[in-house]
Amino acid sequence: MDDDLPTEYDVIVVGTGMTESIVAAAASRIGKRVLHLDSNEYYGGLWATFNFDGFQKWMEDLKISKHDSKDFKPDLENGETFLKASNQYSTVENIAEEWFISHEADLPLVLTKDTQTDGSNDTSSLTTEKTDEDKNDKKETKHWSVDRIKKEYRRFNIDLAPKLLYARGELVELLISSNIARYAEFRAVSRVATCMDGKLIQVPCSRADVFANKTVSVIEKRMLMKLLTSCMDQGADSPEFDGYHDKTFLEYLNTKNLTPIVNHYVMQAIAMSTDKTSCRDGVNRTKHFLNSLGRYGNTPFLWPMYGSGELPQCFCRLCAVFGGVYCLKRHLDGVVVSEDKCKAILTGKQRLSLEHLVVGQGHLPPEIVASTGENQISRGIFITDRSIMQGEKENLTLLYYPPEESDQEAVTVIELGPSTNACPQGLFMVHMTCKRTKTAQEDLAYVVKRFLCAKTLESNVSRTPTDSHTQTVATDQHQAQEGDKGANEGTIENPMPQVLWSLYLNLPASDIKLNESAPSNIHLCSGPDLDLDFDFAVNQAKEIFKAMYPSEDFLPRAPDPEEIILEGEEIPGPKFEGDNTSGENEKQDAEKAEKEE
Amino acid sequence: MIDVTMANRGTAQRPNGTQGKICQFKLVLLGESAVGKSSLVLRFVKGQFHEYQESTIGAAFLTQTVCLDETTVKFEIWDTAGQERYHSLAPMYYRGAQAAIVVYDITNQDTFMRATTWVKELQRQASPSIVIALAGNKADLGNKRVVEFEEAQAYAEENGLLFMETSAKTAMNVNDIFLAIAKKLPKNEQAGNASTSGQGRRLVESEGQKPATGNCCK
Repeated sequence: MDDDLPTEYDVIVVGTGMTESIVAAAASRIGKRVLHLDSNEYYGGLWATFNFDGFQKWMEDLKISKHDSKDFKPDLENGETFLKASNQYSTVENIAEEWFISHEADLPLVLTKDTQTDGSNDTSSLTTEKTDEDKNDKKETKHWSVDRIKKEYRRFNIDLAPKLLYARGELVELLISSNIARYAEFRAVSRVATCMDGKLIQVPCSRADVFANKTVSVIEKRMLMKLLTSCMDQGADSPEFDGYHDKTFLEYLNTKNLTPIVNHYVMQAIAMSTDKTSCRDGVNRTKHFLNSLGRYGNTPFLWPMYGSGELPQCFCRLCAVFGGVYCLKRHLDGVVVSEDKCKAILTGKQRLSLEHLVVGQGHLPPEIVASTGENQISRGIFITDRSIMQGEKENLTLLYYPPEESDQEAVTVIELGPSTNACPQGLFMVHMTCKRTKTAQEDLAYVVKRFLCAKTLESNVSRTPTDSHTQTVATDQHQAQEGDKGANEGTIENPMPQVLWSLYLNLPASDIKLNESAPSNIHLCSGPDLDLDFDFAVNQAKEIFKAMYPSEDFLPRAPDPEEIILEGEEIPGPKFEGDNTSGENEKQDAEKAEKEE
Repeated sequence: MIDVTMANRGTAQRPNGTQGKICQFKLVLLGESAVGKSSLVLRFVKGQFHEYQESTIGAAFLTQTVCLDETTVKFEIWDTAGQERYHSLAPMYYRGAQAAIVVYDITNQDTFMRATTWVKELQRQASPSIVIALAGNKADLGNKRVVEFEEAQAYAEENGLLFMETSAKTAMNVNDIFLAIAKKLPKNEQAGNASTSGQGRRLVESEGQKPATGNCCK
């Protein structure tokens, strides 16, 4: 197969991270000729999601020294400079993997269901499959072993940078307005938890939740509603918050004479604040949280099915649908600069010319980098055997855990169950994220100790199988009362989740800046940031697009299948309805962009 | 086939019952560039064929319905959008796909080899219950044939695939292969829910104001 690429583009995008992919889609959508490259064989860079096997391979590849392009001398014209690309801003550090279970299943009678042959069952559907497995669990008390996890590698989706979407956040609005939402599926986060007096409790999110909640008094409920309403209606600029501009959110809350429990809910769960968070940030976060309530579930958050790594791929697909050229496993050797402009890139043996270069931080030539960034990320990933807060059904849980000591960082915990496709039935996937101060393992240790049992499991200890939460129940049809009951019982009766496998790693900083001498047509895309959501990447992509094409629309709605009319089609098929004209225009726009074969 | 009003994504599922049930399935096309993937879809969906079909632009996916005895099967047919050209197809492409047609060109041995690689990839990465069909396209070019019917059929049998030789140009077996897939797909409550494929929730504007609704059947 001929791997030579066409040589002229309007936009070349290097790296398939979130920001890069959004920019690629936006440029392609308005008819620009886009080439999108990635040196990896997978999409997403540090935003990727892997199955268990893919994750192991990713770690192996990190050990092998990265592509070190020999000092090659490109052919340059007069006045041109060549800047070699570097991967030094995408270095993952301190990887520590550990197993807590035995290598092989110790019960020889256990018949592990062969997942490869599930398909032979003609009546198979997710439900029957699950029921079968539940039965197996009961009959045979299957144990999880290293072998079994490796064998069922496909049933895991492990995120490098897990992120949620606010139901009314930038990304949800963009996915809908651009019609890219068609490519992805989501699960609503079913509960927001908080830790109070050493116990995990579910935070009442909606008005109904608040009034159904039995842990707060009627007076407290009114107090809470009043406070939330003032944050929601007025925002941080309202006179209500005059005089708190230099103060913290906590200082503001303290003037409200709230009871400790209400104060706790607002600070830790709704505004996800520490005692250092400014009043402005606290109010804005509260507002964002409340605005997003009631749209898709009983919490403000959504999780992408199959993991966060799906979302860059959705934007890449739109880019491809409008003619963007995709090439993975293609390394950027460097960029050719002349008179303060980037003219071309060198990749493989090819020189590819461009108007704009959009480049992820993992490929930047060091010559144009001003600062390497400070906000590095500590990550912990855990496969566990039960939920941190057992309920009557499977939950998707968000927990914000503020520091216990002054030298610790607040940790965001996301617990995913099998219905997100993060892990097989009977297991949970726990993601922890915080700002790096030491190594990931050290930074997260205090939270791991509090919620998880990370000790080697004695092979003869039999733990009760956890059937109660494995039934498939619509996660959104949740009653606050049930949740509370479940939580209370959970913490009393159930042991802490046993960790089967853990992994720690440090991700590089995302706040890298270009220096003054960087050519103006090179646009830097950051890696995953510390925020809970994707809005930073969306806004960065919008800024880059605006800098490139100030007068163009950013990701206008793509046509639905019913609206697409193909060239030469005289009579629309009787089964296709809808507004054909828009489809036609888009088709023509797209054709202009086409530069293939 | 009957005329079916387009069911919007996200609308409530039809009442339980077998009469007039609509099942929606995601079907993905795979195969080397220029084996006729898009042509097969265009023939099936629009009844058209263009000798010099350009690469598909602007079409995220197309839809077509097939009527079986008691069920209307609606296919949401995804094309590769050219991402296969440099072997860069994103895994999200076959996420939640209940069916796949792996296409090769009977006049090109390499495309058949590549098709077997795609089958392996699907068996490794896609849903375990996916229905896979192998299509030997360009069957109208029998005089240039290099991939023998028996060879492909034997391979398909070994791997539990549906198999047909097709021609997008003459329409030979095009409707038939989709119909065969429709017959093989499970038509129970869980499968083909109009608002979901992989059991998750799709985001739609109209849903915005509604309170929480169930996103799976039970």
